[in-house]
Amino acid sequence: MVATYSAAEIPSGLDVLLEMRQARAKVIRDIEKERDSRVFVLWNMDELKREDFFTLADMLEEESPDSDIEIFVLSPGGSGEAGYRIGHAFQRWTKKRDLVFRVVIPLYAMSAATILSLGAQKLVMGLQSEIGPIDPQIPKYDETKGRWRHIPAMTVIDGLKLVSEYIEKIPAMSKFFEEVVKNEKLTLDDLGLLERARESGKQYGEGLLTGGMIPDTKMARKTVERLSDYYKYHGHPIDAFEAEEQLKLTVEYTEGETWSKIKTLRDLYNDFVGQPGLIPGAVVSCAIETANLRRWRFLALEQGEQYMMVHPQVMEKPDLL
Amino acid sequence: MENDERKLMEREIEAVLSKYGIRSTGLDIGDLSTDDYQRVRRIAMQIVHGNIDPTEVSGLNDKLRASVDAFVKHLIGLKTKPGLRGLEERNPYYSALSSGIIRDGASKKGE
Repeated sequence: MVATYSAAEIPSGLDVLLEMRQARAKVIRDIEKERDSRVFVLWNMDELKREDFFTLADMLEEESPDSDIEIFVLSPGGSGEAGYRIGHAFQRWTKKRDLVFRVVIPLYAMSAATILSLGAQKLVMGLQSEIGPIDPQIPKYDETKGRWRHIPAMTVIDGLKLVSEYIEKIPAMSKFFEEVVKNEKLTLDDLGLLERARESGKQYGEGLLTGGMIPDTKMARKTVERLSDYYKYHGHPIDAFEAEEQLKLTVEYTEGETWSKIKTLRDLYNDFVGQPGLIPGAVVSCAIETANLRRWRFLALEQGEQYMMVHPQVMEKPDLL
Repeated sequence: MENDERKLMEREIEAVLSKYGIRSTGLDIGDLSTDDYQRVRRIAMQIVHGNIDPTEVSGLNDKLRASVDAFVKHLIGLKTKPGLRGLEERNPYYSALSSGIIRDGASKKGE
């Protein structure tokens, strides 16, 4: 008989999910054996959230490894606090036990996930890996598209600088710009919040670096200032070479057999997280796993989620701009 | 052990489906074997990604070919779902129905 399914009736196949999970666990065990480490995977297609930290912390306590720890991270960013908490907790936990904490970046660990990475003693990166700037983002509602989007906090400061330059050159334009700024509903405390958010990102980074890769406070400060203020585009990709040469991070540049295994694990996660057609009506948007444990976050396909990812001070005022 | 994990997974997924009010239509794979289901899914994803190997399709029997057709229609129907669109907006590196390592963040941001 020919098997036909209506859209809602596509079977998800628990056995398939189970097989996929077993395949991932097997590769994790292979990597652990080869690198004499314990692997935690944080594969997050969605925003990094505080609950990701709590989940990882629970898993760390449950696994309580006595070998070096490697977190495999894929994340576009999210809560800076979550990134800091994960980086700090793993850094201190391993330090107390004289173990090494490494962050493995098979593809991208951006923004808040870059903050997380700064807690490691070493970054394991290959040709495809990238980290990114850590300047904070603020949500702005785009009325023409009817959705929230994020803009770098620094763009507000840049915009104001631009206005003041214009007014200096053409004073007659001050009235016009006064209207523009008024429409943006910007207040002094909003501007203060933006500056504080920016400084806070640097504090997180500096705290993590001095506890790990860059013990020297001045050098650590230089690195976080570059990460926060130098790059003009929040999505600016920073590869392994730039991370080592310009940011002075400790990078274990990896290729060959080891990198090939890391890529195999990457492909297995990419085939699962964020992929529709496995579970009716939902996708797994985040998988946090070890060889023994797993936690998944689901996203319902029919429900659009509100765009919320920011620094807590800004979060209290989502209509900041 | 494997059975326990399977049961746990089933309970977890059922709970999520009921939480979101999604009608569960069988978490089994119908009359397709696990291998066939994986094959059908892989080919359907390849078709949607636009990188199908034609010999993969020509080697299918009628039953599997019909399943691939249904799966492709299903996947295309998912493309506009708010959940996936939201995910695409929150993660500029993610594109629903694209292979996980295709990244076009910069171009999407410029939209």
